[in-house]
Amino acid sequence: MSLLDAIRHRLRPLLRAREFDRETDEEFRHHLELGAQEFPEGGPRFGSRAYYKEERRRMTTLGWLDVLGQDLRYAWRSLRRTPGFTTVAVLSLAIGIGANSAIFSLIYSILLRPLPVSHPERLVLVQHSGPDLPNDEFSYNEYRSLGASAGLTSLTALGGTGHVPIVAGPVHDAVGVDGVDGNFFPTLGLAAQVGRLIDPEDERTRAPVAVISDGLWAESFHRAPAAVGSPITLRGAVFTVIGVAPKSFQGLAYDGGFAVAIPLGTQALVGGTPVETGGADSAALQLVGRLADGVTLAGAGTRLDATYRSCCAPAAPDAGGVQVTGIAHGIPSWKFDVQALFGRLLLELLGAAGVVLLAACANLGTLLLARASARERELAVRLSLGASRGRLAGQLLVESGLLAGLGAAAGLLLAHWALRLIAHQLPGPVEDRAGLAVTGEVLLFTAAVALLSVILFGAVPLWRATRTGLVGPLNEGGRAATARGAGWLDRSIVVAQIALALVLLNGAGLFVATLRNLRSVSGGFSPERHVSIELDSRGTSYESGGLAALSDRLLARAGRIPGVRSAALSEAVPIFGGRGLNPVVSVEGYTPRQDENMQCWFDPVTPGFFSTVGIALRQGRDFTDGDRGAAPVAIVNEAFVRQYLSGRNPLGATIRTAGGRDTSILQIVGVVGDARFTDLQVPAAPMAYLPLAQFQRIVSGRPLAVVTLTVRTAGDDRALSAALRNAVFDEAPAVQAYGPESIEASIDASLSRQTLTAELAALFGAVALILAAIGLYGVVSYRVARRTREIGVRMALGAAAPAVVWLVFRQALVLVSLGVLVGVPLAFGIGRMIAAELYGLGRNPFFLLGAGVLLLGVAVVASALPARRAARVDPLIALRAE
Amino acid sequence: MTDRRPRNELLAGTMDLLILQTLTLGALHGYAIARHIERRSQDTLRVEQGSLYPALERLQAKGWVTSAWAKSPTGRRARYYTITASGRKRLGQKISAFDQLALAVSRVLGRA
Repeated sequence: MSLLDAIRHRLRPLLRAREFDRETDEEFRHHLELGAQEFPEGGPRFGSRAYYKEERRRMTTLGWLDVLGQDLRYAWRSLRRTPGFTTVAVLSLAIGIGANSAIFSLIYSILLRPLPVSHPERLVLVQHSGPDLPNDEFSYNEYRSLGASAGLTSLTALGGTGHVPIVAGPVHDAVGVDGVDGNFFPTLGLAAQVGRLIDPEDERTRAPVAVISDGLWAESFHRAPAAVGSPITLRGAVFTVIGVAPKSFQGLAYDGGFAVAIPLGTQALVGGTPVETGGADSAALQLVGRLADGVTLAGAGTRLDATYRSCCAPAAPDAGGVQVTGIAHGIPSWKFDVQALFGRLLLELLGAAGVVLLAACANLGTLLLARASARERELAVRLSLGASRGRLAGQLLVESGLLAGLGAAAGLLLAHWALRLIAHQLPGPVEDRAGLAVTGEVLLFTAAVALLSVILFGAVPLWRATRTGLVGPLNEGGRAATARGAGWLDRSIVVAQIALALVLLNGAGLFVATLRNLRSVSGGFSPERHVSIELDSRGTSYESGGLAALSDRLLARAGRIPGVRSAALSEAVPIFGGRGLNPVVSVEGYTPRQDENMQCWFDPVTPGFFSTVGIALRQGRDFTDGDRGAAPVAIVNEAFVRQYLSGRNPLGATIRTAGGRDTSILQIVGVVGDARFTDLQVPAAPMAYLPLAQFQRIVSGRPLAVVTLTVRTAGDDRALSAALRNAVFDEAPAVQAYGPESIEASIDASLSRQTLTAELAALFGAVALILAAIGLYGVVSYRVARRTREIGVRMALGAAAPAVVWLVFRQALVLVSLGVLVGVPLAFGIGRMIAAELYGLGRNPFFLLGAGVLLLGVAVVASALPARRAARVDPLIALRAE
Repeated sequence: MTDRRPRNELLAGTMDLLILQTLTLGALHGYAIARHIERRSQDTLRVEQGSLYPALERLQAKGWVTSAWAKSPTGRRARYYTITASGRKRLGQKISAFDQLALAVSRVLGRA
């Protein structure tokens, strides 16, 4: 007999239980019949058939597996006998586990998921080292020189363009185009899903070929393989599609956005920077490398730095060296750092989800405790019939495990559903990235959470079971055995639950109020009906002369678009952001305190900017075309007046700047309201505006390289966006354009974190409230059931129904009050921890008060039904039950 | 879980030995095995179903015995047990082990 046969033999009773039992019976009967024939008078050899069958079963199977199957069936039957309990238990768990799965799914996709390339942990990005903001742009010559550096198996370059008009099949749109070096895809270890990817030969011949994303393939070619070989048009230049990137590949940028890749050498054809035009500023290439085996991040950085200093540093003596940084999760975007924005928040939310899970487990604990007490007699009987305590404990654990399994399954469904809701609250790039599928990692996490919850709540009945005495429950007829003893346990669980609910409700109130406050904040500008498009001239023919020459034509053209009320150019726009200038100033008549930072932020703007963006002019006048060649002028905000010109007439005062080539003196001609430029939560700092036309001449000394065109619209923004983009492409074909984006959408994105927080906190608060109500109801009704006899006695002795009802309510109210007492300091502590996330609330006890009142209300509701039951106790019946 | 093995190792081992020896006669059903042992021991050894069939299962699980359903002389379906090659090998080992044991017991009792 082979090993396989032996295994099959052992598994047979499990797999074919019915047949096995039938055969066993038959064999047994045969034996008895033969015995009866031979010894008609009967003999001593009749054994217990049940014992024999059980014994045989145990002999033949993988013991525990069979026992587990039995226990599972037993647990399933006993759960089905109590559908109310099972429903409440599974729902509680589903909520607790689902919340954790959903948040983990977000955390995984936003913070943990690596790039879908081979060994993403070995990918690095080269950056300039130095005190400035992380800068990762290199010239083509630097790329070539660094390529020879040791420590990397390969180094590749990634260029790119702004939004470029594309015609592909039915699609007419604007997309960002990536110029990639020939070894870009090989470095990432990617293969095409259809056709092939760009290789070094394409780079050498500068073939006009393109690799498109899966999304574009679907949109333009409906996933037809014939897409390979089809032409697409990028900014008028024709490229041939040679392949489609893998479906999962969304680009190296953290927030994805990959659409089309073309050979680096051809990016000039679509308006990108020609790669070989030297100059440190002119080519903006990102360099991505793969670490060689056994080389650490620091090691590669050191070697690369040495190479860089020997080859390239002399050209820019102040540029410093280079370093490398890991980009396993993608290259962070400088404008929208999702990880910084959401990282802390998501961890806090996971904490809240953990609290919800605790509350759910506490619920299960009380429910199971009540159940265990009800089953005390059953357990005692089984113990006295010879079941081992270990066997009973195992059975209880299996029951807990089955509950957790059901809860986890339902929780996954809930999580899936919740994620769909949440996804819409996330800013676009995150929503795209999140993808929010329930992945294997999420399943694994859910299983772990379910296991944890079994350990948490499964311990309660186990603890009880091991303490169950043999004699007590049987002797006392199963009544009142625990009225005093373990009663404190379920009550303390409920108290803890109420405290947790209080904490979560308070938090929910704070976050929702914060969001409301933020939404009602006036940023000092009117957010509706603006569209902005950012123009970047760096690396183009406009670079040396700046965009100033272009501005008149652009404004005139934009003003002619139907539906445009007004148009203006500026370096920075409220909320939308931008760069501006930060020179040190001195204000006439103001003596700075010692060590006072006298830097002041300047935004160069064209006439009409304030009315276009909706910033109120308080005093004086707007800039005019007449300022162009005239004496330097400035307009300041009210914060500036309060800070530097308090009590004086600001009009006519002068500001002296020390920036640029020489000192300029600007005369203040107007005062405007405070507008918040970066963050709605941060009050405006003192700032000044100067005419765009005076920009290069007066303060900065540099040409205007990046400018934002903003238009105020009369109606539909979307139709206008296309017209605006076309206007920019026509008037400034060489300039990189990003957008258009509406300022309103930017505000929504800037509040996305607070929106998400408030919604999830409210959700968690509601869930905790429901869980607390269930827990309270369970405990109160359980105790009423246990005290039926006592209540009967009281009524027999003359207690009126209202007194009995009060007895029940009092119990619930005491529990809730205790919970609130415990919860208040906790809530204060948590409130302190999240203070940085709050806005405009100060020390506000209102939410705590509200949560307390709400919980008292819950106490009344949760004990109404048990109270009714108590009031209807018939003393005769209750006493007869003796 | 409780310990399910018979407490007396000698007993279990002896039952296995007796069954394997009996099956060297040929394929037999359970009742025949029991009766054979009882008769050969002149009814000194009683074989209960409660120990016979678990022992047969144990022997099957170890691969020393196989079984198949067949028609018995009375016309009823019955499960016939057969000793396998590895069972025969095992029987040899068990017999020599038993001989040693029997000899040792006899020596202790002063009869050898």
